[in-house]
Amino acid sequence: MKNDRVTRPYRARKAGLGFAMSFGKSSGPFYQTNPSHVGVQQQYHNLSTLAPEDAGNVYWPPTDVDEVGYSIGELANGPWIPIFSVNMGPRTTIGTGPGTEQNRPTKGVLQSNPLASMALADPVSGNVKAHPANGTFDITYHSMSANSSLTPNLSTGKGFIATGYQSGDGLSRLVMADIPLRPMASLVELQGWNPRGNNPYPPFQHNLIGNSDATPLIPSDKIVPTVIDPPTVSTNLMHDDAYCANHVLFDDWFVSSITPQPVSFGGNISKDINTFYKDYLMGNSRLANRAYLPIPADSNLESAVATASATKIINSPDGWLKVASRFEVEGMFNVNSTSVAAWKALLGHTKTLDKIAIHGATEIVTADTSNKNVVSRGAIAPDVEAGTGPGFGGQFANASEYAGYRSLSDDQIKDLAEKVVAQVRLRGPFLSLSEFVNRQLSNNEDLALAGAIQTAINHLAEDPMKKLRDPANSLSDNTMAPANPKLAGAGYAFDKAAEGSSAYGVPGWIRQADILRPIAPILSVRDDTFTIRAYGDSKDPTGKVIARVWCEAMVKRTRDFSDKSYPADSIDPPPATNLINTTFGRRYEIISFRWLNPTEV
Amino acid sequence: MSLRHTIAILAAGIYILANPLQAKPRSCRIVFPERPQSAPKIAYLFDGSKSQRVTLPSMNLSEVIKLPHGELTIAIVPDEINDPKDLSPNAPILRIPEKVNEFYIILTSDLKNQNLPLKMNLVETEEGKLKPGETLWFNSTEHRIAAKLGSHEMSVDPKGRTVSKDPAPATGYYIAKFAYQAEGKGPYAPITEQSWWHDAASRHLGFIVNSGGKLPKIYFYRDYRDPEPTEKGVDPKD
Repeated sequence: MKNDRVTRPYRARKAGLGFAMSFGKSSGPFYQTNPSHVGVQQQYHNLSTLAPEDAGNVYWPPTDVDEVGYSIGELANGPWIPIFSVNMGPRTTIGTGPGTEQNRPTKGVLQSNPLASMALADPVSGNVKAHPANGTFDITYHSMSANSSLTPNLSTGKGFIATGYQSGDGLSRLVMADIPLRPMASLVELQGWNPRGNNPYPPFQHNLIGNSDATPLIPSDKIVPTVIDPPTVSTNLMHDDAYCANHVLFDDWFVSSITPQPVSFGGNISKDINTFYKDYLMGNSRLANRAYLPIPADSNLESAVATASATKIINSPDGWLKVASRFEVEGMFNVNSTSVAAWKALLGHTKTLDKIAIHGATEIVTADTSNKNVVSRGAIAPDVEAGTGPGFGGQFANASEYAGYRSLSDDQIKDLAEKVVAQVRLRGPFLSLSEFVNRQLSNNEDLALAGAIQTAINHLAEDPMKKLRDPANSLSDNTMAPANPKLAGAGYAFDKAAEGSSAYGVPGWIRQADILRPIAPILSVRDDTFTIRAYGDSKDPTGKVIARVWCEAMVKRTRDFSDKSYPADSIDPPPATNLINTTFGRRYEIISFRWLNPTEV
Repeated sequence: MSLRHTIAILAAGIYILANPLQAKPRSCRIVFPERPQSAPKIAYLFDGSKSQRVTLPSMNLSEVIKLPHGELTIAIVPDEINDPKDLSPNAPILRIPEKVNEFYIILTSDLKNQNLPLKMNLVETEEGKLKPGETLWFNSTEHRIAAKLGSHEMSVDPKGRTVSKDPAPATGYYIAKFAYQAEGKGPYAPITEQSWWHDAASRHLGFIVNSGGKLPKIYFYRDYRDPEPTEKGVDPKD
């Protein structure tokens, strides 16, 4: 904290109700009055809630405040007497004293980012960015009697932060973001990364990569607000960040999983990257991403050749740009598929897994997942399976509903496959992966609220998050209605995007990215293998058909260009002068050919 | 006979029967747990002959209120009155038996009462029912509550009340752990764990109420009493 917070804690403050908390480095007294894009470079955390009484009455209704009177003798005789409790925490936390009018439940991690470094709350400014509902944290306060459970759990042990502040409703540990501890096999494993950095402006979304939910602060058909503030796009700090991240990353980037090999979890290395890649080329090792196989030219190489090839890729300054051309995927999945059976097979892939890794109490542990359709936020699950007890983070019975991984039933997998196919029919054909991942920028609410898989999850007949969603279980609350006075001035441009549950997106809440994480590496918007049928007539001079034949060829697109003289792994496209390659692109090879009987046609 | 007349007669009786040699003044304290926002915060306590202004606090006990000895019927009224004739027939009243010298008045909401939307409830704590250092717990929930209060354990039935012993041998901090058995059935689930202050010289009133959420809300009031001034006054060194 700044030193002068001790010597001059109230400087630059005006009279009125309010709280101010500030952490970090800066030269100004408080930053909430002048956040700018320059501030993205600075490390500071700021929560300021200052308002004259009339505004305070709206945003922090005084229903939980009462006079507290003690005699001088009582105050003098004994310890500190608590008279007032202020709680600040993520808005996904219901807060101390359920039933309070002060909480502002919003849509979970779509409006609250646990990694946000700065939050503003200044309702009288009239700025959307400073509206209390758009900040990432929530504040509640209560008057208290001498001893009360309104104070957060005050034992000598761990504290509790979500879903409440007590051992009876709170979690001591909640894995909201994780750093991969093993080589990443999917781009979506980056969903714990916060690409927003120190951006002080809302929307404060979390788990951006691979998710597709709209934010209420941006119109349904846009990725920036209608009125940009600051006024130029280059300095604008309010975006549909998930849309932008997916647009930038999918199609253009992938995770090879060619990495140094850790001994177990963590930083100790058993093989450096060159050795590991060489072993892979020799057929002695497999990548973390099992679907990525070496091209035939790289398969089962002799040691010396493998060493040379590995060195060429790994040590080349543009190796990271070219390595994708060294892989083949057996069974790439075209997301434009409308086969329920195909989607069901893909979505049910985890049923073959025997175990799942879990962040245990002090180390990574495993759980038996035989014959289960497991869905987990991270490659290492954040806690025990939802609905199986308190887990590692809490003490209350249904804590794992909030913090754990989930298993879907076979019926739910089938239902999900059907719902995904319905969305593909509605939205497809998709011309890029990011188009499949993202929502549509549209005035059609159903298409604009979320992407295809997220919408399918939302439409499941048997809701996996039923217990977590129901406010009666005290794990969450319904979001505020748009007409709620506490949302006046919040600047919602897409009300529907704010409807839902305060627990939306916590680890126990299945989101699109959780489904995508294991399957994203093999998704495509096109096929590389085609079955082509051709038909021909032989006619006599009069035009009469005297013979008719049908044939079928299976062809496969290869990495080589049609004109093989141009390198397959060139970073640049073929020059315009190379008409063969600019016209026909990559080379196709015939895998099989046969004549068909008329009965097969 | 009207209530007004009853109070007037009782008041007269008090005047006659009051024992002038009784050393300890009769007194009470008021508290209004879970007081609604619309409820009054100040009212007048009418003892049949005169009113005194009292606070109806929700976060701490009221000031110590002195009352006449003897069997007594008191009323709580919104405005000061000093004549039983002015007492509304709907005013909340409370009968105090003669033997009760020190007591608490716990207020609860009574929205049907147009005169003053509250009800007075008498809590007697004399004759060893509540000793200094102990806590009288009121559980208004449908759950059974169990607690480990420092070195002692406590359990209170749904809608029940109980007295918990001193959590510690002397004044100081102690750990209070609470758990509940939903609707009095099945396993216990944790509520909270707190580090609370124990005042070995004061009585306490504890409340366990429904909070609107899953967990009951738990809190208590400390009945700290300033030393009674002696004829010489309180020694300023104390």
